[in-house]
Amino acid sequence: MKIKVISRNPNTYQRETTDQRNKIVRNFNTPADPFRAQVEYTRALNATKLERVFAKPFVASLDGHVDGVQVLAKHPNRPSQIYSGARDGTVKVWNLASRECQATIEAHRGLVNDISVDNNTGDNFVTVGQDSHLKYWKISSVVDGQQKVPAHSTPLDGIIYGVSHLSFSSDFVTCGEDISVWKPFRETPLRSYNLGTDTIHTCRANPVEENVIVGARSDRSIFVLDTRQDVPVKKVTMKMRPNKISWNPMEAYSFTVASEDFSLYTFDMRYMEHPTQSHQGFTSAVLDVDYSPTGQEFVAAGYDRSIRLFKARDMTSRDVYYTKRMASVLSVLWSADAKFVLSGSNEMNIRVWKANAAEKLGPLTKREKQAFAYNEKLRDTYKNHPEVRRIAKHRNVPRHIFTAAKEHKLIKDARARRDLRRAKAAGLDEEDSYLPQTQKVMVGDAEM
Amino acid sequence: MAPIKKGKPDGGVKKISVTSTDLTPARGVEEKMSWKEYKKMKKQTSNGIQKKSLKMKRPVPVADEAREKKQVKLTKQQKERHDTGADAIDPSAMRSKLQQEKMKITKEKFERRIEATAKAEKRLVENAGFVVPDDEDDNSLSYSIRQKDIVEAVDMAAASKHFDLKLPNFGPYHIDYTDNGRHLVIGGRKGHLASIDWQTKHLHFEQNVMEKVSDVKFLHTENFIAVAQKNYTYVYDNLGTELHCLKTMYDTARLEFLSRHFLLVGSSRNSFLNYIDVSVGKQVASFATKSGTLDVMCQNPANAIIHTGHTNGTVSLWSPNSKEPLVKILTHLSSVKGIAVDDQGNYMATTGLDRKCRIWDVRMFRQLHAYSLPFGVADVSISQKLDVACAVGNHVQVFRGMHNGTCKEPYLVHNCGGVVTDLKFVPWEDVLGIGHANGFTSMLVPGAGDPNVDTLRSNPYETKSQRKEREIKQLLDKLQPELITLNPDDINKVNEGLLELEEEERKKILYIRPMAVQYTPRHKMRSKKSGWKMEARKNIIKDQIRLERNLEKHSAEDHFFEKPEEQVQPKKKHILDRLK
Repeated sequence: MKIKVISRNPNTYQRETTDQRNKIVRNFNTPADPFRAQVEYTRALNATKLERVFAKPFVASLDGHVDGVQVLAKHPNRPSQIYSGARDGTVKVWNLASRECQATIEAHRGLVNDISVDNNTGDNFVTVGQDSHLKYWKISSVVDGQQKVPAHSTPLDGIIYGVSHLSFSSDFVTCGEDISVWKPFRETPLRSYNLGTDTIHTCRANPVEENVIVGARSDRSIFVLDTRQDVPVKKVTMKMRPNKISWNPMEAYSFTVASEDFSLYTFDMRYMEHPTQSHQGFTSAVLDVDYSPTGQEFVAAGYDRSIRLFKARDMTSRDVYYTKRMASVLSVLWSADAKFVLSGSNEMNIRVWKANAAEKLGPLTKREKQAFAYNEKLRDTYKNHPEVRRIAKHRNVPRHIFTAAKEHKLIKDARARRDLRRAKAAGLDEEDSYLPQTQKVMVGDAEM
Repeated sequence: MAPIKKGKPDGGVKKISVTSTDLTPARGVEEKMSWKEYKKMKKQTSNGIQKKSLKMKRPVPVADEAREKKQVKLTKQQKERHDTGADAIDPSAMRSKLQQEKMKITKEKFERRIEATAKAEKRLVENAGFVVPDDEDDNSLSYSIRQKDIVEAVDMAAASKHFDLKLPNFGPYHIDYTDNGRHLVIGGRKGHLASIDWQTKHLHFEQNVMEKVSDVKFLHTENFIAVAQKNYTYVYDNLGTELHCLKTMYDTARLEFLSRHFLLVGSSRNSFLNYIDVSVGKQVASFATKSGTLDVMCQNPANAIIHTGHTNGTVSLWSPNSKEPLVKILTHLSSVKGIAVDDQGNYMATTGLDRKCRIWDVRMFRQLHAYSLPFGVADVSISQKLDVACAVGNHVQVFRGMHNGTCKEPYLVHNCGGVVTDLKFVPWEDVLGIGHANGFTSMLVPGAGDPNVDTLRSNPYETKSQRKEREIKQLLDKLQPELITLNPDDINKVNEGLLELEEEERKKILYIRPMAVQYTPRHKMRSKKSGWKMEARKNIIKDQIRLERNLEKHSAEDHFFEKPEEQVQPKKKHILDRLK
């Protein structure tokens, strides 16, 4: 009989000296671990809990303004440079990396209505104010030379409410009584579009398509304009006032509107009859919206003293940020590196938040990166498990938001019931008479 | 493209000169061609050129090509060994094209996996043990081989793994190995307790606890040993210091440790099953099984379910989440003496007083095979390679191929010289540890263990620092006792039935009329017979029952009619409470 039993050479498994690393011998043919799913679930649950433990989104406060921060703007190719305009007419240039104010200029008498930075050269920016002036500023001379006078200033007949540079261009559009296209340092606009008597209170140039502009008027209408044409391409009217608009930088045809009715609406420029998606969660008017450079998410500012981050296609917010002392938020901005969110609020502060509340800042080691990536994948895989979902979704909100949200839900449900009963009484079919939220918010048909 | 002349151009036809960007054929085209036609032709030719250039931009790397050609041819055996279902996938059976493509990708993935595992097999370092006849004429039986023959035949390192500890004064012994098979603890009935690194024969400690020892068990490392003693269960460290006295584990007969859940399970003689979380020292569950002394117990290592054998011939399956057994199997017509479940949770072996050893499919709860044994059957154990060891009086019989019915006779037999009380195969070794009345025997069983260790999972050559690290990782991955179910993969499945069932049950409550509460107080001899007191006692109980039922009903009503919740101001909470 030939006999053999397992006899291992310990040198295959043990290191020779303690200076060496421990040897690892693998057997890739071992049977699958029967507890794999449960272990992964446990890890996912722990990762979710840790994410909530480390969710400390507030990074810094940029203080210096002496009135509410009306407008925030970013530079097209300097990620750390941020422009802010306050209600007292001052404009500040901030360095985000050092969190310092680089320059302060008394730009306007009265509010600063809007700021826009040159998309082509990136060396000057335009401000418009309640004092009916359009001012050009050279960035280099403002920041380095501390020059307090504009490079050029144009007095106008009416107040301008918005300014936005066309993509890849030094030209820009302004809106007020009409829409005008300007070349820099010119006294008069290149072209003007008169869209009626209503004031146009916001306009944004498409970041991809050079000639497309979207704007909102005080008659609650949203229009899309092609600067190569004489009349607006499309116009639709909403039931409540659209406050601000932001283009999706990665989808040239979609934009999101911050509305007075506590919601945001994403429109497809090509089918503007009604929004493609509504975004809910605010308990008061939404004052500003800005897209992430990735086009996947956007941030919105609420009059209810909170800011919310939405996934571009989701109805509910991904996260909500607030602090005890933050007043109603007037302006928001997603930083150019997509890692931070800025909010300018009525109590004169600009706050810097992390875009992902639990993200660790600073350089990461390779193992840290791997661990974070693994945890994120786990969280994603197990996100629909009740316990994981409950922990991931839970947010503590201030009491006024909590109670208001509850009240709004009551009202919404009551209205839904009322509509249903009315449809029944009118002898309509329940299903046919149902209108989704996105269709209820529009008035009439779109004008082409 | 009529204008292009196929034949040889005439001498009289003028030719258009060809520029570098102009991609007309070299021989030119006739001037008669209209602008439209010329454009059309140019477009066509340029398209062709573009396609060509595109192709040229994407040369197929030679290495890739070679690799594809070199695809490993798998032998039929290899395929069978590693196939996890690639053969069963049939993309053409899918209805839509998209699904067909998806299935094709899945199938390829499975096939790549087969190939990868087949390749990985070549990298294995160690070879399994075996006993084979010298030549074809050799008809000697393998069970005639004695341990001393094996010891003579194998190398010195392996031979040292067979040894006897003669301890007739303190026996019979119960034994246990650590998960990596490196350390051994033995506990004699008369109180002798010793922990040994059995490969180097280094003794960690030896002492007498001066009390009856029923069972011993290693916790997650060799540093913690749980010992079931006369009254309570104690935990000792690797120096024999008493760390804990677990008074909740009273009169324990057998111990088990669920290493994934950090649960120490004790089955007591008064039919209680106790679960203690040793990482936090909390009792997780304790309930009466109401089935007599629980002196036969084992765990299913694949799903952490506890199997207990009873004197009426049944085996019950327990989880800490249910006071009732999950499954009850009638395994023998007489009392059950031993149970063992293999590492993969596929097979269960039971022995009973009816002198049978039965092999069960634990997933189907069906008997696969039954074998008759000599008289005096006791404990049973299954090795990594599915060899079954049965204790038969003073003998140990090891069987090969019991699980697939190929077993005709014992594979090996060993006489221990005393009644065998405990059997444990050593993981990753061809060794069977035997605790018996005369002490302890380490028996060589060629081919019982898996020769190839994955040291990331279980490492017999673990250093101290590795052990510390493993301990932390194990604790981080600790599974909650609520997750213990018959099928651990349940967590990845949708529980449709339960939700429906719950809704139905709750709906029923709404339509049940309040039934009359029947209650007659127990006759109490000590207290005076006072009619008023009796009535009062009756009313208290009745009220309680009514209250419970009403609460249940109200909660159901709230659930179905969505009664607005009363606003309760939450107390000021700790910052971490939200994670509860």
